[in-house]
Amino acid sequence: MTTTALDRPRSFWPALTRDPMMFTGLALLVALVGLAMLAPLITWHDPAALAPRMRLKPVSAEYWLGTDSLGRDLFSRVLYGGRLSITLAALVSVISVCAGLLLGLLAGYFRQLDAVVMRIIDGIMAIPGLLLAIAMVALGGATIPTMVTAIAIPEIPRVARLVRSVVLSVREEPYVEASLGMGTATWRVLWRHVLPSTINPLVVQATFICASAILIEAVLGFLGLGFPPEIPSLGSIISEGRPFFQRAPWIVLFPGVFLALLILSVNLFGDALRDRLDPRMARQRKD
Amino acid sequence: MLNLIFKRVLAAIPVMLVVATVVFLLLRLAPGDPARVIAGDMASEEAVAQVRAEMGLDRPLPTQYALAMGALLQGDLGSSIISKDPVTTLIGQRLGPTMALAICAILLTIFAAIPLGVFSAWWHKGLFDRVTLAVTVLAFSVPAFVVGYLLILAFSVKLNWFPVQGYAGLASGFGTFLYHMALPTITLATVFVALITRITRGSMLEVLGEDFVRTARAKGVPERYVLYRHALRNAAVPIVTVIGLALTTLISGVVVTETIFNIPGVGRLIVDAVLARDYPVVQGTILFFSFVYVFINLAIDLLYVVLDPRIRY
Repeated sequence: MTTTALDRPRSFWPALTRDPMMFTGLALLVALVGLAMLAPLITWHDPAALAPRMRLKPVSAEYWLGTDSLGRDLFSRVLYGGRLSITLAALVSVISVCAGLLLGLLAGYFRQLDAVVMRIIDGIMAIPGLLLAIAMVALGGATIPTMVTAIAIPEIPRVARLVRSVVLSVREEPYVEASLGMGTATWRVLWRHVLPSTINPLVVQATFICASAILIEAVLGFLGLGFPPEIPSLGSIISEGRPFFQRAPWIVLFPGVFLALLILSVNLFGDALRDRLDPRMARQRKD
Repeated sequence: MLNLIFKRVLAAIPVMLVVATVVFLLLRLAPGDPARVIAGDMASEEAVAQVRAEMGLDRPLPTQYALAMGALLQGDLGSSIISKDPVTTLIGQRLGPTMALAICAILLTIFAAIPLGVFSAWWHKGLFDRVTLAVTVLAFSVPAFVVGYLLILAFSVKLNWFPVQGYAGLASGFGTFLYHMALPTITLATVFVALITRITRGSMLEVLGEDFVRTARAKGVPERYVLYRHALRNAAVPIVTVIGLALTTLISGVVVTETIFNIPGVGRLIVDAVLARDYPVVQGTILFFSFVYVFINLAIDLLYVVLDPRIRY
């Protein structure tokens, strides 16, 4: 049996070199996140600096990715936009995982709550997440708190369902029954025995939430509902570039490619993490 | 069978009630005051109060809720603030293009993804399988609008094979319809082809390892029959489930695709309503899409019985 050894984190690094998908995903992710986070150090143009005479210029040594319709440097705008997308995605992941974890633990452990919480969750899951986000952003305005809430709410039911399913299987385990039989307080059983089993699937879920949050922010921007133009985000850059698409396709395509690579790297990393950390899912996908 | 249908329909009612309540509450409790937004930034307090009274927003929340639910039961989704038309009429006018787009995308998905998934599973770990797997991971990560603009750049701007934008209904002839529909369909279907290919492959791999498949092969059943009659039929339930669950993604995709290609469908309706701050239309359209989702998943639940006679409720 090699599975027990594989589950340990220290076998992570050797595994990385054996698994080309995971290696590609992680390398790409580190590179893109690094570029985005270090944007102020890497770029030499202010992403908001207007240069009307330099508008719609193609790729050059001075403007690595060309300029947009107001002569702003697309390279710095894409990197700053990426930084915003990544920060937003991280916030959405943390919030939806925490809220979903709490709901899932409650629903899974307290039978009386289960029926009510699950019906609400079924209802929210029937509403297309993007439409819910569109409506909330339209009402609340495109600020960071509204944006984070709007993208996080549709993700919470998925996390809650996942946690609930783990809780339902763990609570039947003999060691949990034994612990309860010995008079351990409920919150302590949840903390010591139930919570640790949810961590691996949650880490995997969090990466997929990141990918989806990056995408939804971009789609909102694309539809013209994203952050105002002063704040460069991948979605708003693409949206502003749309009217100039035939003359200057790079304004749409470069942020689009950055976005696609970012989502691809998160997905590749998430797939590989799932195979490593979540044996249940990995068995289902066993090739 | 009738009993089964009745039970399933009954189970869908609380879900729809929750959907209606959540949409109602979200639009009321979200930060921002619809009346102020509709009246405009320059409006006086009196003007805002008047808009609020016109929309019934000055009444207590439970009263508003009861009124909205009562109207909903009668099939009334409210009326547009701008055109004053009932939301159901607006949706009805725009339903054609959206249905056409969705059906084309689902057909393309079924005819592309299922054979791809079946053959990947059959040539498991072969070159075809590896290439398909890599392409699906890539296709799954590229946002629909990036796919759409790349297609426009290649096939409309450079090659001039297809129009950049626009829509033509079936009434203008099947050829014209397809000419306008080709790029939007591919744009919308890309993610689904990737998703369904992977699910089909995974589900087929499981079934191909089963004893009855080995027996069929040992009996000398032609491989084509083994794959499509024996294996695919048994692998169908997870595939159909995922097609149903992926509908919310399809609906989101419709909104984006209709915006890229300027198709006058229900997806465009919601975007236009949001940009014009026409809240009743936003709320009505979200409810409409959510109910469609619930209904189609209900239909899929019933379809299971046809696909897998072992399933009984």
